[in-house]
Amino acid sequence: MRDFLAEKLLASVMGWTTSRTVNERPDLQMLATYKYDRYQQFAPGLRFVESLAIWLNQFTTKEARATAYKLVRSRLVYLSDIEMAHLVSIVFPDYIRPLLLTETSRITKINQYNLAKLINTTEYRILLRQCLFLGLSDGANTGAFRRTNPQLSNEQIRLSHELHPMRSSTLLEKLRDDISSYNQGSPPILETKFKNVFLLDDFSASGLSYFRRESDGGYSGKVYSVLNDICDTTGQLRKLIDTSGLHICLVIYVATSKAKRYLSRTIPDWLTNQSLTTSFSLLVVQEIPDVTSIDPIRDAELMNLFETYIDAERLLENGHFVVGKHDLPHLGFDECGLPLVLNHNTPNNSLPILWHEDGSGRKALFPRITRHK
Amino acid sequence: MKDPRNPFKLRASENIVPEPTFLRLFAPKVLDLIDDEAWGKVQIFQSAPGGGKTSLFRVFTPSSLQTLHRLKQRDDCKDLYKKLEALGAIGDEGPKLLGVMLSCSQGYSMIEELGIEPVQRMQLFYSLLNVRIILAALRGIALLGNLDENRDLADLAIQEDRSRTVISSPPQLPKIGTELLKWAVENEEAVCEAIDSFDPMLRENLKGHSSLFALQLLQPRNISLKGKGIFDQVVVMLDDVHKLSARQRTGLVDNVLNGRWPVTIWIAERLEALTSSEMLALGATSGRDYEPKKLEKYWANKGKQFEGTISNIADKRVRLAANTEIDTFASCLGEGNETEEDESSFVEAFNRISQRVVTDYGKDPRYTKWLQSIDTETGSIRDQAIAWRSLEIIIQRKIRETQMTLPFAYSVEEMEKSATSQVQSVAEISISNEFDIPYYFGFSTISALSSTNIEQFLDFASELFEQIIASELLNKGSVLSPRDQQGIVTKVAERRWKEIPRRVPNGAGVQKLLSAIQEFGFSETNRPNAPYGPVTGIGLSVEDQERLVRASSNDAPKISQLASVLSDCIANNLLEPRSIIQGQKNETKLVLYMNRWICIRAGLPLQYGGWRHVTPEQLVEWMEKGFRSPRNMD
Repeated sequence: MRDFLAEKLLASVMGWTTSRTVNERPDLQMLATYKYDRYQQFAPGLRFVESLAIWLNQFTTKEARATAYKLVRSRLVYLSDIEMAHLVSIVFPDYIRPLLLTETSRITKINQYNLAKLINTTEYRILLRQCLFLGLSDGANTGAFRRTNPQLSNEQIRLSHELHPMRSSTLLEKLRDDISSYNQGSPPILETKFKNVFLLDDFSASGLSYFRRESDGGYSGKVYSVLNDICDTTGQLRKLIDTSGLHICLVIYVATSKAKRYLSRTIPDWLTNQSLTTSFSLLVVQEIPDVTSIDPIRDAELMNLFETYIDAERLLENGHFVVGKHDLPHLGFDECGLPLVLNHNTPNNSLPILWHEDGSGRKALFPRITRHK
Repeated sequence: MKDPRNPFKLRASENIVPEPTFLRLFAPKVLDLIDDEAWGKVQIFQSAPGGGKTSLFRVFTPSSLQTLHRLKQRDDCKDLYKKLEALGAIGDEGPKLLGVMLSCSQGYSMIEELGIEPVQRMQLFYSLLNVRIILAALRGIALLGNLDENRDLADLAIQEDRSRTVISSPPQLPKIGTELLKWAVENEEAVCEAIDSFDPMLRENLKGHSSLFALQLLQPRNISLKGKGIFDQVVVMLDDVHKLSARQRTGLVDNVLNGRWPVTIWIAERLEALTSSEMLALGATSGRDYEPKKLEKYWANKGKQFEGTISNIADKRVRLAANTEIDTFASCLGEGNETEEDESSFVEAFNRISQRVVTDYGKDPRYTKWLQSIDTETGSIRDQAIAWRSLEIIIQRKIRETQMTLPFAYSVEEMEKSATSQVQSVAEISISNEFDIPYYFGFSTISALSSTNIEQFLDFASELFEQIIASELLNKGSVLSPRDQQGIVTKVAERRWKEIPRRVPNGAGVQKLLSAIQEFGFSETNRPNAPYGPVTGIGLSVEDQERLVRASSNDAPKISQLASVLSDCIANNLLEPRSIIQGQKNETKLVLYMNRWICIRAGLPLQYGGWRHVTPEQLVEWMEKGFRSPRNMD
């Protein structure tokens, strides 16, 4: 009944005719049922259509409401929990394993297309076991990653890159034991360390939270702290890795092309200045192309809507916001301009028109929980 | 499960609809298809897609019967329960019938691609069918008896009296349920492994079955649980038989028809399984001992009963819908509820037609009495307009009579005799077309549009219902205007038309032929004297039928191509075959009526009856060049 009333309100707010209602209703219900109703930051009992109706009702003109509605219907990208789980489940078999098989082919000289043979080699098993998977945040979903890849050992997947010394020792012991059993003898000391480190995370829009240069010339970010720990001879991660030929792969399940370009440039640049033979690669499972973002010139109508209904000063009150570019704060953090929502929360790179509640009673379509205060 | 917004979009035969919903939506009257002929014998059900075959079978499955028994006190299930109780399928204690349903769409046809002898392929086919029938039966028994398949089937015995078997050399099978289950699972795996294997030796060494002994095994007296019989009847239902290869289908049907099986066997297939000759003979009775039940033909012969059945189907769906106050579907379509705008259009039609008739024929003394009679007609303005238009047609017919007439006024009786329902039908549609007055509206019309195919009805009804509930949401009431109804059904017809090349084999050729038939029908119907009434079909002589059947792609390629296109039209319910006896010599003609939704595109009425004889050569020309109206038209 509540859904019915919400649809009634929506039709009334939008001034729809019967034929328009016939066209819109099935799609809205389908979107709500399959995706949007599951948004985790809706208040208890609130669902998408009702949130949409309330949100649209705040726009004072019919044209503004039509523009806002079109944004939601035509431009919104919503990543559901099922879709994210799918990305987590495919990252190893479809993205990481082929890399390992290619490397195994190089080592063993077996034809790269002879996959069954390659997988059954001791070299592959050792190479696989020498991979370390570290989560960069709880969004990395390392639990799901572990469950969908039973061929990986629990001792090579960690929830976080911050490791306790005792845990590090245990990891190395288990690694040595496993490789001994593959080799049926004690291997040389060097081979009991990890050769490939995969850093897992769920989403990046700007790349800045991973790696950025601060105003004082120093660096910060999640990936920076991992790399720093590896380069630091006393770092916990340093003890785990084979420094003679380490490969670090940053795996992001969803990232924008902008973040991909930024990270592909800045991290290798930094690494070349370090005293470590380390190669780096970036692996993005689902790339969000630039064309998804709102462009201030091409989407002038939307920019007008944002500027009319979002108070830029209120946005900038959040100190973290100014870390990125903020000449056009209506486009979100670092001016990413993303019409994007993740099932568990809306990132601040997303358009504030979708998530911003400024305390004045304004309601967001997809309210956001902010980590950065 | 949340109540659906538009239950007309649910296709209840698909397993995605849970049992309680399926049973709530199932119209008990559909069970009238199951007559005495269907029990203890073989019954083949044929229809175009969406005829309702799978839904019919599903009602008799263990899960449906068990669920229905649980829900028997519910208002929306009571009638169905009573109907099935009368058929002996269910009782106070629970289901009394074991329904074993198997779809033939699951990979059987792949057996034909194996590189082994044809005889071996058939044996493998029978093997797979046997084990799957047995597996389905065991699972059904477990469900009905609330048994655990892995533990409790030890109490089940399926023991055949080999002295009474109709099969020569039936195989020795395990008698205890658990062992029989194991045997069936292992044999199914072996056959599937052979099908999937690249190793030819595996296939050649696998011993297939030469008969459908499962049908012999599963008779009620052979089945006991803890020593007691549990079923009064067993019905084996083989669905989607059209998905088998031609050889498999023929072998199966022959085997089933010629064996004296102790169980009831129902087979369901789409018309596409039939050969061209079978397709082109669909309108007639074959003269054989055995006659498949063609669902569309069955419902067509039932007249108003089909309308009653789909009204029931529609109302059940309406009651399932979320957030609506509507009680019946027909009430939203309001028969005869013309708007003021339509009313004024009828006034205009009346004025112009009556004036036209008076101007053209008022001075001819032969029509004086007719004009006087019509002028005194009472009734609605709509009826009066139709009466004047009918008169216009009747006068045109009179003019074209070849015999000489004396200048005396024709009698009113003669006029009334000529004002047949066919003439009135043409009059009404021509007024609608000429004055843009809605024609295709009302429940009877929507029912007619379905051409006795349930899924077709649901297709139209779902779009209408979407509009109805949108209108209700916006507080605009739940009754659709005739114009809105016509707009919606026209759009649906157009969408179905555009889908033809994608959905129908020979789609482009089918569309060309149907386009030509539409134009031909329109041209013939709208002749000034409408000599044949509304023409919505074409007729072929018996000789032409035979030519179509005999035509091969070598010696008569165009006729052969036409036969193929006609078969596809019939298989997909785009043309409806009827056998009509006509003429002094009582000649049989095959009449192919356009599906009623195609009549909307042609602006034709929906009644059956009017048709014109054509030759295969004409049809070939239409397919190549389109229909061209003849130069000399009266």
